[in-house]
Amino acid sequence: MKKVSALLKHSIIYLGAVIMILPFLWMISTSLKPPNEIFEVPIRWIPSEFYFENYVNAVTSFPFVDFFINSVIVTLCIIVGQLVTSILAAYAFARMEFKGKNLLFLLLLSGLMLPAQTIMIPMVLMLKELGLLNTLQGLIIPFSWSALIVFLLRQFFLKIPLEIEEAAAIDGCNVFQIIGKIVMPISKPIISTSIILIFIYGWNQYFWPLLIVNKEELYTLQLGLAYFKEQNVIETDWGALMAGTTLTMLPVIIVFLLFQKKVIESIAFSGGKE
Amino acid sequence: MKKNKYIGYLLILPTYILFALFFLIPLLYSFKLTFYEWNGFSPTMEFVGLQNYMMLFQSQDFINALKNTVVYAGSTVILAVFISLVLSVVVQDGIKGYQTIKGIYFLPHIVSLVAVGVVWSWVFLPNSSGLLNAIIGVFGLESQKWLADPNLAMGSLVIIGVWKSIGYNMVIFIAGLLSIPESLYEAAKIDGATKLQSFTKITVPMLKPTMFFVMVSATIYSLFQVFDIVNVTTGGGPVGSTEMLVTYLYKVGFEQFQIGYASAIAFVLFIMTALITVIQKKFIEER
Repeated sequence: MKKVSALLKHSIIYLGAVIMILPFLWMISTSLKPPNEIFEVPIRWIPSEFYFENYVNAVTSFPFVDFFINSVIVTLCIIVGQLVTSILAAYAFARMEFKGKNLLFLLLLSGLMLPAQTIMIPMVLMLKELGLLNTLQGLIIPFSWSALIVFLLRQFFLKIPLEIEEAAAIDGCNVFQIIGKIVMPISKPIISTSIILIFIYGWNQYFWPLLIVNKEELYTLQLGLAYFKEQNVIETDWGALMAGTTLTMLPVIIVFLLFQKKVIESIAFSGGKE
Repeated sequence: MKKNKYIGYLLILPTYILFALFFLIPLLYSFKLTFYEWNGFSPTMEFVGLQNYMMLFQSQDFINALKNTVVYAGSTVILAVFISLVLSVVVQDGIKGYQTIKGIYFLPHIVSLVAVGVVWSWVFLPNSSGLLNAIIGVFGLESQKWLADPNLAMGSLVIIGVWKSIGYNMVIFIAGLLSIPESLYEAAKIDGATKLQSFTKITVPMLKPTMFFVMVSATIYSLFQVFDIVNVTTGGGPVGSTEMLVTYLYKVGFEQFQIGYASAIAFVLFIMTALITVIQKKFIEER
């Protein structure tokens, strides 16, 4: 009886895991198939030969490299921007007293709760007014703040013992020196978690870039991939499309594999908001 | 350190400038726009009072989008929560290769919605060489058109949504299960309770708060993610069967340029999420 239930238990979980990973395997399998095997019935999971041409086609048939570079620039800048603004704000909320502090903090957190589409029209008007439409800056500046990261950092800062900072203040350090020389080194774990979270958020963004840029040379990888699929609608080169999709996912998957435990913990803790 | 009382404001200033420019002001302005008729270009806007709101409830398209959104969010949440609850309870019981399994279930959550949409379009390919058709073919079922069939498109999107969110739900459920004191189960065992009894009498009631939390956050999450998926897979079709509030809003705003009317739709969406959030907040406070 015990053995049967253990077997049942493992079958359910392993079958579920197979279903979860199947689309990924299907994607990778297709991306390596020669054209004549892509539509083969019954399905051939392992191609007769690895056809890397699909990857070459994906990278050359649309400006993949340019999109990749745009994505890297935008994501890196968003990471730096969110970290700088959030560390300062989180430190103020953890350590300073000022009027309206709690109210301001709550107001900021409300920013986590709305689907982007609710503010899209005035947002575009605002970006237009500021000359940010159709610029890379437009993909960076509006996203260089984060209620979530402020919240995460503040929680961590609150746990740092005050004595060290007080001692530094007596030695004549100003606030910025204290943050840079004391708080940040101690906070390495939460800062690295934040970097991973912002990276995934920035890399995967699709909706805002879709509104903000419509010049092809400014496309990020996600926009490019959606565009590549659209262009392909009539006679899709699924091999190249799956190769492009694999490449688009790869950076996030690598980060996930390297820091799996950290990623899962932090996303679970953050409530899954993106 | 606290000598200068303005330094706190100085530190939060960068965040709040961006927050104001790119969240708060747009949000307030959006509300104002709901009372105007405007095409987005013309220098003048016409004040029309509540007319945009009245239009909403006479519009077949709006009702359809609202209904689809509720159906999508409702079915995704119910299915995903049920499946992930069962899986969490089973996993909790000890599984070989637990870390790897957890990673596999979580993987769909971290990849981009665009990539997910593209891959699933390929899984849902409407002829016999599509993956899903090949699988159901093994059981002797006929090939379906999935995303291209008005009767199946919504169901297909729900499958994607469920697949995307199971891993995240599981992580929260497992944390909730771990927080149930082991001693309760031991006491029940001594009293001669069966496994099923301790599940229904201990696990389920103790997990209720977690369950509620997961349901609320899953509902919000489904509203967050649905635009990208629909836009990449069905574009709202076929024949409006997967048109959601967010995609309809996008079309009215940026394809038909009815800014006031679109803003009224945005406001309905805002009220919906605000309500869900209030429920969530109230519940967290109670806990």
